[in-house]
Amino acid sequence: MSVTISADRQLFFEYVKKAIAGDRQGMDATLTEQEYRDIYERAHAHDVKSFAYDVLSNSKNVPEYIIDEASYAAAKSIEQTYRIWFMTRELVEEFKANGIDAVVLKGPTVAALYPVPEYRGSLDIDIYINDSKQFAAACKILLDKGYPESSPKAHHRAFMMPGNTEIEIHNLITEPFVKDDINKKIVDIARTEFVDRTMSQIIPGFELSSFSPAMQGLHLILHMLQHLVGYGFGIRLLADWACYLNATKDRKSRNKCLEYVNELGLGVFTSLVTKVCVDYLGLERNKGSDFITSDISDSLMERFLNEIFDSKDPSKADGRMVAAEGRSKVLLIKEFHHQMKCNYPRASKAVITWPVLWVMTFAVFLRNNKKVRHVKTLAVLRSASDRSNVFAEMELFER
Amino acid sequence: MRLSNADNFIIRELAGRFYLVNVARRGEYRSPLILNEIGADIMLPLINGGDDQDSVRYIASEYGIDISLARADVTSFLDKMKASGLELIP
Repeated sequence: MSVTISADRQLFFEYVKKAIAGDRQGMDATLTEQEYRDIYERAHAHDVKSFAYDVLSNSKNVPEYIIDEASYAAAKSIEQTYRIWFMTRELVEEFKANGIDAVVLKGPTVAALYPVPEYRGSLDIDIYINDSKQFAAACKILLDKGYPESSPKAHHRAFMMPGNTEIEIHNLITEPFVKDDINKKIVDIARTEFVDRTMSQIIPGFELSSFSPAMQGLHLILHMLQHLVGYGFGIRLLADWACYLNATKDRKSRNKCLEYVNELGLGVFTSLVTKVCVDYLGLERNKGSDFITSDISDSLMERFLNEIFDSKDPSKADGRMVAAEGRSKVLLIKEFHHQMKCNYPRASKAVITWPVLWVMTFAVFLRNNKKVRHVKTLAVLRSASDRSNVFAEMELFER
Repeated sequence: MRLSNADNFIIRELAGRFYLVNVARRGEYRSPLILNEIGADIMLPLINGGDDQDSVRYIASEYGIDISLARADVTSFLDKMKASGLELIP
């Protein structure tokens, strides 16, 4: 690797590498209190804090108060995660009893890929239902239980369960992208794969309905892309991908996943994220090389790494940072319009509302960028343009 | 004394604590019981299908203590577990 990254970022990568290795390794060198503090704060921002106790308690000279904080945070997250897992199973079983077939997206089914699944915490519940009538029936069950519904999105309806747990019932596996033919292809793949759904063991004796390993891989890629385009990209997404590649040994599943990735024109993006896992997150080269099908320039790698570290906390970014999947201004405007429609799927059906919705989308975009990135409006706009250039280099959806 | 439906339980060691998880539990959610290391060692023979006497022997041998002291510790611990809602059967 010839990309230069700062010492603090290198240390954070080392932390994540140890965290997902699962063998309770400490940091290699003895660090200063400030360095440990920085790692811990960054772990918090990137949603990989639950691993901190195991890594830091096995490191040298870590201040006691950081270990205590890490222990408390891990206990809180583990408790929340178990709660989400059991509630998810309860719901899926209730749906099943009502003739509704569902698979669990993200959360526990991704956690199952980690050496210690509980450390990959869950905050909400995501369930995908393929059949439109069953989708409506599932939503009705939740409404009948008295769970209030929040604003629907283009790809899911969301309900609030007791204990402030959000459950999202997905009718699409990802938010639609700007290209209709790609969206259609994704729908077709999901429909086909739904038939081959399986049971994933999360921890011994605890199973949940999930997509096949090939589809899980594709979903992780699409989810990463969605975050990159719209929400900000945290390290946890890469940790998920590294654990997927590490855990998925079946050649047929890997090849099928790769086939999907190439059909959707996501080969460069997949090569890029896989290369980061190999170069920085300790993924063995032979476990990632089949997914690195394109050369990745140092400049693209560097800009992508900056994007990851700049976006910091995707889970708190409740809006989108517009960036088009190409360089031209027309594409940028098209993407902006598309995101307006994703944000306001019902209101945007009436063309007359569009000017108001454009203003609202733009205001949310600026506010979120300022909140997440702490930068001025002009810099936000320049950043959107820079990010569009990164996407152009990734040749997204070009087949 | 045995643990009812022992097959449904697992012990998970996470961030310095031991969680006794009933993976088959349905209905209203209840948090896993959090144990210390000795508590986990007492529960281990029970979740493997043994009884409290197996726990006593295991604790005595693992910690090198007298069998009567181990019995007192195991009894006291299992009483607390029963009070926490764990179903132990004669």
